Amino acid sequence: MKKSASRIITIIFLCLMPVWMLASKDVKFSEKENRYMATFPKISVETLKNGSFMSDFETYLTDQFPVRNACIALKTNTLRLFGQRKINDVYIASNGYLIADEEEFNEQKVEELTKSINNFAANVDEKVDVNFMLVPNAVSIYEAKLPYNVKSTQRDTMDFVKDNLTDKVKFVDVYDDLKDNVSQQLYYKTDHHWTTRGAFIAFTDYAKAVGLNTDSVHYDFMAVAGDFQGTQASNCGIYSSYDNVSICVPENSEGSYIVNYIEKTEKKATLFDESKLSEKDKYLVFMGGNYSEVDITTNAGTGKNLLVIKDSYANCMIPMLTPYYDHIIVVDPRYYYDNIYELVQGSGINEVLFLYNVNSYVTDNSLEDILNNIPSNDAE
Amino acid sequence: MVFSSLNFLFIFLPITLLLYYICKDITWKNVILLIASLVFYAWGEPVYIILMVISIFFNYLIGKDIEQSSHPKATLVFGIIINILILGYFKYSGMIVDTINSIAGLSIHKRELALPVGISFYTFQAMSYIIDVYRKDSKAQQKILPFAVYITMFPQLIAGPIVRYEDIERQLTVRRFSGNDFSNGVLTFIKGLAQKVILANCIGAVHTEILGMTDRGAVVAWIGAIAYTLQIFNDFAGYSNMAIGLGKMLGFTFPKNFDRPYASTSVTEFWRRWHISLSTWFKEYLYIPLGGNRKGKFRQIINLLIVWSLTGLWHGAAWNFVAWGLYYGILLILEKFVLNKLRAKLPKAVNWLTTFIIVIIGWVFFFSSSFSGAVNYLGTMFGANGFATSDTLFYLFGYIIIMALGMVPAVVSFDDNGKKPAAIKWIACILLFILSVAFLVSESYNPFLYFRF
Repeated sequence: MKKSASRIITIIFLCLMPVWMLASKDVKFSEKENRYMATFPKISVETLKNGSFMSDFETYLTDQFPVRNACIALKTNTLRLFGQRKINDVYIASNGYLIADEEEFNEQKVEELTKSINNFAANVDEKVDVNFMLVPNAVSIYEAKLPYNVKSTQRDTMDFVKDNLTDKVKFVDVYDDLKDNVSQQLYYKTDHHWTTRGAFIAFTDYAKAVGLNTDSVHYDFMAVAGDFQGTQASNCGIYSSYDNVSICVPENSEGSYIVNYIEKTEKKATLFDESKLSEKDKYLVFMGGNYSEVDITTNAGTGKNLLVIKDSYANCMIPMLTPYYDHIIVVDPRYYYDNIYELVQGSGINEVLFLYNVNSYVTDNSLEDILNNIPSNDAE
Repeated sequence: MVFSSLNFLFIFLPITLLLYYICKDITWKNVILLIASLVFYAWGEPVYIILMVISIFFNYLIGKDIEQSSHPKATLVFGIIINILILGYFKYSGMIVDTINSIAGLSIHKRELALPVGISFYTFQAMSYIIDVYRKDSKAQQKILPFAVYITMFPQLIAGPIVRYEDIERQLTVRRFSGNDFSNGVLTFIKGLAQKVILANCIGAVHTEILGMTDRGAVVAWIGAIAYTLQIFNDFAGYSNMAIGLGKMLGFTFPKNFDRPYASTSVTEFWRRWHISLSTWFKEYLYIPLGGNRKGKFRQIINLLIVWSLTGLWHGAAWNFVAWGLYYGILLILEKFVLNKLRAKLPKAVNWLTTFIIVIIGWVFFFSSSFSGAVNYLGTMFGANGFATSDTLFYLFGYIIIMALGMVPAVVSFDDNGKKPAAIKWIACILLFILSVAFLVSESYNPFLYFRF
């Protein structure tokens, strides 16, 4: 009697999970992981012979495991319990901050890239001012929040870039002012971007450096979302903090510009895309994300045209710049395939701003190609 | 297929166990086991399964011939040569060609061969069979089915333990099944699974990260080396535990493969406790036939060096594995002939620590991709690149608990006594199982992020 009871228990245990796996419905898309989950792989002689069916089948099982999200939370929390403070390259820092680790600095690569900016400055018209704002990431500014006294080397990276720039390029150093304002929230807790507040401090530095008169312009900060959980939360699987997203608009510029999305051939009267606030990645509210080229026409009447060559850190700062330029052209080199020199010449650009964060600058693979594509003058 | 996969845990194993226990007759149980093993092998190695089938038929016929033939020695030598040639072709041809090329300055073209999974293990098992038959320690197996089960048995097919034919001959046709054995098997399997999925994989990640760093101080280098020391133990011993546990669930008793190796207080002791089935194999089938210690000290030293360089080579087809083997060979010789008297006078703690450090240094040769890489890494460990870097505390505090946990099964025995396991053990193991599955599922956690900064 007892023997058969234990047999039945064993059989139940053996069948429990398989039956549950079979019975549960396949998930097509995972919100948390922001990707399509594996589906049942194709069986054919070919996939069996090369073993791809077998490995795809295991991926299918793990992707469609019934309590997958709970498993991930269990693992993350177990590791935290053991004292581990870095999961998937995200530091679990104090005050609920999830801070992306810094990207590895490769001296030769950064030197080449910086040279190409020098090259650009030397090859555009002499009267064009070239400025370079290299923004440190949270890992550097919020170094004190990092676990176990971890140190960042981004200040050294910034100095290296600064030292490698020629006099033709002005380096806008925002490090000190960000560092002085660490009591404010300069970076999102759960995302790898800086906040609008952080961008505003950097904007003030930029205004000083290029001589913009900001006295007459009043800036309004408006909270637009309170439940943002960004890339860092997804990356390490910790969803305990939420971020507020706010936008910053110059008060006297309401409705006074036209934004032309070149690749979408679409014109709008706003630099904000409210529809993104209902999506997962709420940072996309700024300019709707990254586009190869965005042309902004304003009624500033200053006679100055600005070209911004940038990564996504610029997206929340661009609106702050609108009162000072008639035209602002925003180029994201990762998606840009035209000739940047022709753009500078053809659009009557007077100022150029390179705006990058350190992590994306040291890993960038597209800027150098665009800057080194200098048109030959033989045609003239 | 590997044990630490959802497919194995939740599909393959339940089906196999159900079918296995539905069959009452041992022959049918063997049929189920053989089919399951072939599926298990083909799942990971769909093409090379042919090689294994050839090996089964070949060694089966050799075994029979040794028993019947009038010149059994010739048959044995032929059998061993063919086994070694097959192993050599798949495992060592690349290394041999590279070595010839670099010595003679040639550039012979080398065919890149994928190493068939488990070939080192099943070839050694096959050789153990034909040698046992030759020595009359075992009778030649007359039926192909039990012999095929011996070679292919999925619990130990791809990572051991290397079960000697002599030890398992009877169990191939006569097995006792008991509820307690099954229960203890389940628990042993879960212990092994947790060792592999929780300890080895997490500690391995620490090692990988440290190895990828461009500059590290002495402390971090030590953490990296110790992490590997614990990873390889938990990986290997975990796999052995899973194999032993599965064996028990199927009615087999496999020999113990690891017995608290990092508690050893001498190198000699370490090798009695580490990968026991391999050391036993080399001792039984190489060291003793070479004459062992019966032909004078000089011959004994030579024999030890031969055995240990081959032990190193068995672990991998590269010269740093040979160096690693010789390192142990030389240390064992030193211990035997010089150090034993000195060691006897020292406190146990000192002997333990020196042994553990020797083992850690040994693993540096093992994980380094080249000999010079190993020397560089050792240099860093002993202060060539400074003592501490800014991230020293991070590695020290962030991973100390998981590494301490990883040390526990290396120094404490969790063996069962064959009796009915206590309820507390069940609870602990069920929790470990849930945690292991969570870790296993999480390994594929791979959020796709718009990392367009």
